[in-house]
Amino acid sequence: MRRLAIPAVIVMTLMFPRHAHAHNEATHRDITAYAFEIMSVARNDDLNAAFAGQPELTQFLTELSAAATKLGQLPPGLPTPPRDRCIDPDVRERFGIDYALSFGTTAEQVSAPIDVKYSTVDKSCGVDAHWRTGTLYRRENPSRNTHAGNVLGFWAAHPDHLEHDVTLEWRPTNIAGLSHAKEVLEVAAAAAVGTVWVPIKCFTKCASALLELDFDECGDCIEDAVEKSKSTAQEGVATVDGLAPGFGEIRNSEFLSGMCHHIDVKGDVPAPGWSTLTKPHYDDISGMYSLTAGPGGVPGVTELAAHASALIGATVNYEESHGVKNYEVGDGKDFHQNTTVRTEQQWEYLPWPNVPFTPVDNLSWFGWNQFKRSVETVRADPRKRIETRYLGWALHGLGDATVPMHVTGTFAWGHRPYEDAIEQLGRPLLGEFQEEYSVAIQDAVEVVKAAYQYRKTIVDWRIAHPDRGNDIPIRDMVTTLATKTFAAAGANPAIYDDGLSTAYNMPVVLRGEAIEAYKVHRQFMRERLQESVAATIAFLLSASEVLP
Amino acid sequence: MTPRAIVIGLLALCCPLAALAVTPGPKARCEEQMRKDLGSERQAKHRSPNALVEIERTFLRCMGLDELGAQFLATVLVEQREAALALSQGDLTPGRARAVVADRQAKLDAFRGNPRYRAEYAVGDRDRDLVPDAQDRCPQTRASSTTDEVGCEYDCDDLAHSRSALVTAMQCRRFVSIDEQEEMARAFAVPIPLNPACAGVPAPTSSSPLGWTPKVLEIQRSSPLDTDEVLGLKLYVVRSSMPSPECELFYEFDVRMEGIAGATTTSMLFSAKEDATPDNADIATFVLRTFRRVTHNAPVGIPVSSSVAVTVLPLSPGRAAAGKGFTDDARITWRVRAINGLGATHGWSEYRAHSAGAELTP
Repeated sequence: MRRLAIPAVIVMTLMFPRHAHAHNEATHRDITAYAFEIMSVARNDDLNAAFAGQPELTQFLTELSAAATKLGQLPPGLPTPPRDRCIDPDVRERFGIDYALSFGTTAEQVSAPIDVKYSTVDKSCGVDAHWRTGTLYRRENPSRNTHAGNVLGFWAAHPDHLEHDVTLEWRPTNIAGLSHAKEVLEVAAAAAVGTVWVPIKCFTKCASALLELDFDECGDCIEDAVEKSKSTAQEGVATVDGLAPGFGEIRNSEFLSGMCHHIDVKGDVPAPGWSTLTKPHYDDISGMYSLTAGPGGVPGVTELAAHASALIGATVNYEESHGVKNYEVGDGKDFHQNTTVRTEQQWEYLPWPNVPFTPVDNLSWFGWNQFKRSVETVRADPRKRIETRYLGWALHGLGDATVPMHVTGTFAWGHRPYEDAIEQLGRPLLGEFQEEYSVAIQDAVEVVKAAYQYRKTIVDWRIAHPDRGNDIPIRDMVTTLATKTFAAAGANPAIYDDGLSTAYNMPVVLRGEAIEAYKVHRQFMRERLQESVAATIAFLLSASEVLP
Repeated sequence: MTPRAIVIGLLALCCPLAALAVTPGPKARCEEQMRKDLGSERQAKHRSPNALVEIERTFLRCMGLDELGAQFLATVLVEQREAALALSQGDLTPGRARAVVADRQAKLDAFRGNPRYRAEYAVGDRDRDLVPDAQDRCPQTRASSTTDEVGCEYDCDDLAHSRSALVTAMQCRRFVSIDEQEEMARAFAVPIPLNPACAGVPAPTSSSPLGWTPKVLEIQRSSPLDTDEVLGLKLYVVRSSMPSPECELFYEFDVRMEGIAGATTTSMLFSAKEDATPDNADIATFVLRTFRRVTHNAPVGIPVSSSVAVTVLPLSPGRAAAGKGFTDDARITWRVRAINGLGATHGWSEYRAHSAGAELTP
């Protein structure tokens, strides 16, 4: 029985989901870009005609148009390109630029569509050459183009790259656990020296792969060790201490940046025989909390990985983790329940699967407040620039809250194939890029109607809280979106399919099928995305009102 | 004295601030101590969980935790890792390991969040189940077991013989270990979402199966050269009431399918919101998509048709299995129950046997 431990550890490692952020980056960008497009064409005659006799809605359209103009004047604030010069001749010829993306002083002036990986990957000079403005914009502006929505969309995707949001480390509080693991290996080593050498030697790399989601080094290590073991007699136990993992930081992975992108609206799931005596989390609603993740509190395919993380002792490194501090909202002044702020020790005592992370509405709140602060700074000193990027945090939350798996705090239950299916179905799923203009208009009409409801909520909130000025109850908005997503998923329970997460993690064989399988839910996806676009429109309009 | 200590000592004499800069912080000191303790512990021939708890406790005390908190947290940490380790060794099932972890976490939450619990724990916990004696109605709990909040043991795999009177089968749904086939089905199936809005809502009225019919459900694409159809079933049951709009209603099916290939069983779950005939006062209709059939009508020759079982469609596998079994020649024996988000139900219907039949008129 003991010898099962080694394959079990490796299996645990390999079963871990490879990515953890909600919605793919392109989806985040496209939600925002489509929202901006609708705002930009809000003076369209057909759109206005659809609301004839509804003065509040035609007024709303006028406001949207003005807001788009205002938002287009925001500084793009794009990061420095990864190279000095663009060396892609196609891009240079087509766009007539040489890394000119950041040359514009306003988002409206940016001359090419930004690639979502612009800041991290030197790909096509940071230009997404395939990206076009949608049907409505091109019809309305046949001789103009805009990439302002694309710039805002770039920032909406950006929180998936926040590498320092959460850093983990092998903490001494877990050394004992590690000691257990080592002991198992020692026992097994004594029994079968030759076979145990490989996983011991590679334990560090494979354990890191668990969190870094990069299994190449783990695989290389095993291959290399197998080769060496053929010619070298190993002494099992004697080598263990020298080969067991050390302690250090784990960071820079998508997995870690995604930890604060959840909100588990299904509520508390107490242990059997326990009433909810105490609140196991520190916010109105928990973020990711692996112990009770998933619909009905069943974590699904990630369960073994969570146990493995606990076993090998990965805990939050509070000092190095910006997100856990930034997203604790101790005094939000937005009439949403505040976070009980935790101490460094409270964050670090338990392995991360036993730690409730902050919910994604807090992430949105952080960005929105940073944005407001930068606007206030510019009011005081016009030489400063507004930090457009911070809008991205708020926009990101409005996207994440429409993913059924993220509103139950799980990386499993079909999370990745669901998101990949959305990305593959592309922008027409949102309502944008319909081949027929009439269909595109009808989609926009529905989105505007829904956006108006969100806008009314914001306006009502402002009336109820006049001292908050033009503030936006972003935490309420994200939570509402998440609740709607969960309710919609409850009506379509097949949307949660852990078997497809398993299939997805078999890349060659079943990943494609798992993604294809989710496409049957395109109507569900479409409704959720359009809800996100509607909330985004209401947010952007309301955000524009704080601008000078 | 180590060279490092000598350097620090010299620096402290001549330059207190510099000494401060190179003196390890409390965290580093505690880590170092723990490493030493673990090193000693590893030298011992037999590992003792108590020794590990003691090492953890010492570390947590070093980090500034009070004595009682350090003892409690150390116990939880070690026991949770023991469960993870046992899982990795194949000594515990995932469900059992999860139950142990959830149990210890619930106790830790109670300890940290409930001053009375903490105070009573300080007085005594003789059986070391982390439930204070003052609240413990079941003393002498065995080590490594799971208990309810009054300290009585339970085992979700054997609830009938458990001492706990508080743990319900519904609460155990997350932890039950069953045979492989059922485990797969359960792992893949969607549990009924817990819905607090169902508190106090009466159980939904009973339902029972009425019949089923296979049919082409939708044509996704049709042209002279190609047709692309989705095939499936319609299942008809007696409609149950939904006493509260906030408390969602589900229909759960147990199905035995007998066909040429033999007999199989499955279970499946539908939300009342999936009802395809919501306006019908008597009959609820559920649609089960099973196959996608693509037919190529070549200009010359016979049409070429290929069917893809949509077992990978995001239906719960229980539904997918049903899709395979409801063939034209199948005899279906099934029962149904209406159940809400807190598990309230009037129970299962009688089993009924149906062959493929005509579509019921809504």
